[in-house]
Amino acid sequence: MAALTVKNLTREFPSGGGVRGVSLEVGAGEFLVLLGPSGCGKTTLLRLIAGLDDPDAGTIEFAPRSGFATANSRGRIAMVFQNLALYPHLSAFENIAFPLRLKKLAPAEIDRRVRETAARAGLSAGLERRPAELSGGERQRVALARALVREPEIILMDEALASLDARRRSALRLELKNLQRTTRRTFIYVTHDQVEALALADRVAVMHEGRIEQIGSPEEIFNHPETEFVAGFVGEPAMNFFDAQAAVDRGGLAIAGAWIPAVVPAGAPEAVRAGIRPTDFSLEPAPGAASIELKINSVEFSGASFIVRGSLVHSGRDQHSGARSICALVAHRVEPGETHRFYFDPAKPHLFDPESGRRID
Amino acid sequence: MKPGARHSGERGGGFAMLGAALGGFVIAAAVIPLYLLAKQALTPELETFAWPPVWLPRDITLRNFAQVFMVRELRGAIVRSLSVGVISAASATAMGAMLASAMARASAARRVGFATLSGVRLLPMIAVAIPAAVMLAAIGLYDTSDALGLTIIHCAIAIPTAALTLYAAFAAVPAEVEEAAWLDGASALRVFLTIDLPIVRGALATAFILCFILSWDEFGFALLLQQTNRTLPPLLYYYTVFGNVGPASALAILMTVPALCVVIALGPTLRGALISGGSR
Amino acid sequence: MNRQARRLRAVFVAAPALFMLTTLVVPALGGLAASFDRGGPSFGNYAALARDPMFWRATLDNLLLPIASLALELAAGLAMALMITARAKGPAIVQVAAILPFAIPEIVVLTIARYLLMPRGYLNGALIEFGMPPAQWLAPHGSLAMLSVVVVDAWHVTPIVMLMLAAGLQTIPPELYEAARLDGADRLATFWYVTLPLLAPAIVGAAILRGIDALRIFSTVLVLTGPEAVPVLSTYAYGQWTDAQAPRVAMAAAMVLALIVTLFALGGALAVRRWSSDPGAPA
Repeated sequence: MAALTVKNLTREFPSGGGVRGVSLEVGAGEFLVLLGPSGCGKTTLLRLIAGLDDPDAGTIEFAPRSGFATANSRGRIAMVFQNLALYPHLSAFENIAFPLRLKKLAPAEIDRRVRETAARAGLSAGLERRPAELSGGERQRVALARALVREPEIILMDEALASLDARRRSALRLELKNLQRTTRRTFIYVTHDQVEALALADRVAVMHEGRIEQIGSPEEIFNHPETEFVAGFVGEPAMNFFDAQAAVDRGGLAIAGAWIPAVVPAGAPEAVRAGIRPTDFSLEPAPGAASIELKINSVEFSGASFIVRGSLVHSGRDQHSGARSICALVAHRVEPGETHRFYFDPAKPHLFDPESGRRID
Repeated sequence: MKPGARHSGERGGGFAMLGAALGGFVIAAAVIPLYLLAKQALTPELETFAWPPVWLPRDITLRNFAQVFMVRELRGAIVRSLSVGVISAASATAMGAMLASAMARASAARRVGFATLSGVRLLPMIAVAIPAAVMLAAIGLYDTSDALGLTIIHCAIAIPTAALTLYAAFAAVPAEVEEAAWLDGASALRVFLTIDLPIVRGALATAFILCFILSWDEFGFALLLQQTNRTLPPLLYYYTVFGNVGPASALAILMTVPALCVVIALGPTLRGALISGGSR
Repeated sequence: MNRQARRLRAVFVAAPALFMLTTLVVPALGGLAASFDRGGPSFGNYAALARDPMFWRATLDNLLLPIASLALELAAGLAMALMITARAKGPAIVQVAAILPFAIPEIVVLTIARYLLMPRGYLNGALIEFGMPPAQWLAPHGSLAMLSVVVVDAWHVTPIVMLMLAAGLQTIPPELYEAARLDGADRLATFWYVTLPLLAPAIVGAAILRGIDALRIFSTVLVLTGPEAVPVLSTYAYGQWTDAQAPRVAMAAAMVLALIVTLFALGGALAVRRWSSDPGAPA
């Protein structure tokens, strides 16, 4: 049962950005992440859902509920803004209590609910302090508590963790995910950080230039990207891309004169864009594995693995496109200047149509 | 970091002396006239009439001030100036806040607002006051004891000052705070009253004070619209021109005290506000 | 949200605007109409003005006075602004003293000025002490009266000009001064080639704002010299209204003043626009 249905939503701005023809269904109790680079329209979409902005075309429908007009989203939606938007002249307690005071609830009731929600958001003490006197993390919790206290159906979050440092961000992320599970509310979360998206989401909607390129579970998005953009945006380090000639019958790709065995689906055009993730490479040979030879240009140590960048060593005929640096993530150290063989499963490369960017299956 | 600072090595004696001379002149130009007025207020009239003038006070008395409070006309004028000032300043601040908050958020409002404010500030007092006197007389608000007609006019001429003082403050309220309140269920009016106004309360106070001083000091409309039930500035004029040196000086000192305190106390805040909103 | 907020904003703009228009513009328009009314529509009131030599004197004075006071205010304001933004800011007392004249209500300033400039006033008294001849500073038919008006007006208003110019000075990056010094410029050259050109917009802005006020001068003239000695359009109109009991002629004079002010303001706005789109040749 969808909590929210968006149909063909369009909102454009003279200065650019905005959304074009976006359609989307959000399930009740789902953690949906809107992921994309800045300017892709994710914040616009969020604000349209919140009712802070009116669309040029399209509709937003909420699940029908007795006593609520579907058009009126207020009261059923709460939002945590990027810069938190806490009321500076009110204490933390009053910030959280604000929506309840507007509803004119009894003071005892307000007190109970504020304290309960604050505890759930991880706030124990300091409720009488003003936002200026709180730490960044505490302010985050106050903003979250203020959103939760009304028990809304849908909670919107706009890059809400962006202002925290890395450690606090991952800690709060975990709490957020647990909170969503225990409260069973629908969360719609906007971010440009794909690591965060993959960690938090039940489903990810990847957005680009005002449109949704793909919606799916994090695994789907990662393993089965529908477009070249999604493939390149998700995954760190980013996927390697080449222009290649595909040969279905010979079962491989010609990349810059080098021949690489790969699984080529029937019906694939001759010219394709091929992508392979750095994590798909290995220095260990395996049965049935294809391989390429790389001359190492640089090596970065990243704790559990090495980020290696190298150039394709090919039989010499076609100097273009392969000369670009290829990135691989491997378990052992290699040195710049050396030449090594990198092995990969021929089923791994992703093929995309060079014009439309769509996946070739 | 002192912008406009002179080069460190070239503090030539010439310029330093010039600066000191200028500084001395500025102090003298400000202090001496005030001193003379204070002396006139605090010494008996006979001393003031002496010729050649007496430079140092010989005989200090508070009789002039006492006279100010004993004469009903003077007491009435003080009360009238106060009431006109407070009411017009409060109303002007309220309306200025309304205008400034709209101008801070919407470009159309900004254009209309600036156009109206600029237009209003251009009007010469005399071009408005004479027909206004006629119109107020027609509706029975000319020269009334409570000076309601004057209060209304003062409110109108103070709105530009209030709006310009408040504009920056409203613009500084982050739009998201207002949006958050709206999402929490507040109506647009509620947002203005319970979120915006408390956040800008400092500027509200500044605007109120500036408008009060504007009304307190205002001479032209007060002269033309209140012929017998006068406020302080025209009254001081008559007292000065028609003799009564003692009470006139005492009155002048009394009139100055509030404005002086405020300017000194508010110092830096006032600078910014005066530059954008100050007008005679 | 937007719809509700838009409605509220419309009210928030309309109410104050309507209030100001009704209270101030409607009377002014009524006055405009009255100025063309002499039993029936006619230019008669304006003709009466043209016949009155006092009117022409008032118009002339009304144009000369602002020029003189602006010159004085800008010069003095600039000097004081330079002084208070200099590194050796001077003791706080100088800053307070600089603002003081503006803090005092105008009528009080004029009262003090009267007592200073009266025939038996403090200024003449001081002159006598120093063995110099006293003068008729506020005399009805002397040109000294105009000088007195200009100086008193400047005394009251210079602090504001100083604040405006000081704000403008603060926006000049200090690196420019250092660059000029390295280029070998002395203080005078720096002032002429760096400070002055960069301060020009602030100077023009101050000139326009204070000019508009100076054109409307009323109380200064009325209190110091009486309307006879230094007639200006405001006091002339006032005289027609009170003494001559000729309200429509008074309105005509007031409209002439309003026209002058509007022309000046428009000219100023155009000059500012021309200025900001053409920053002038860089050094």
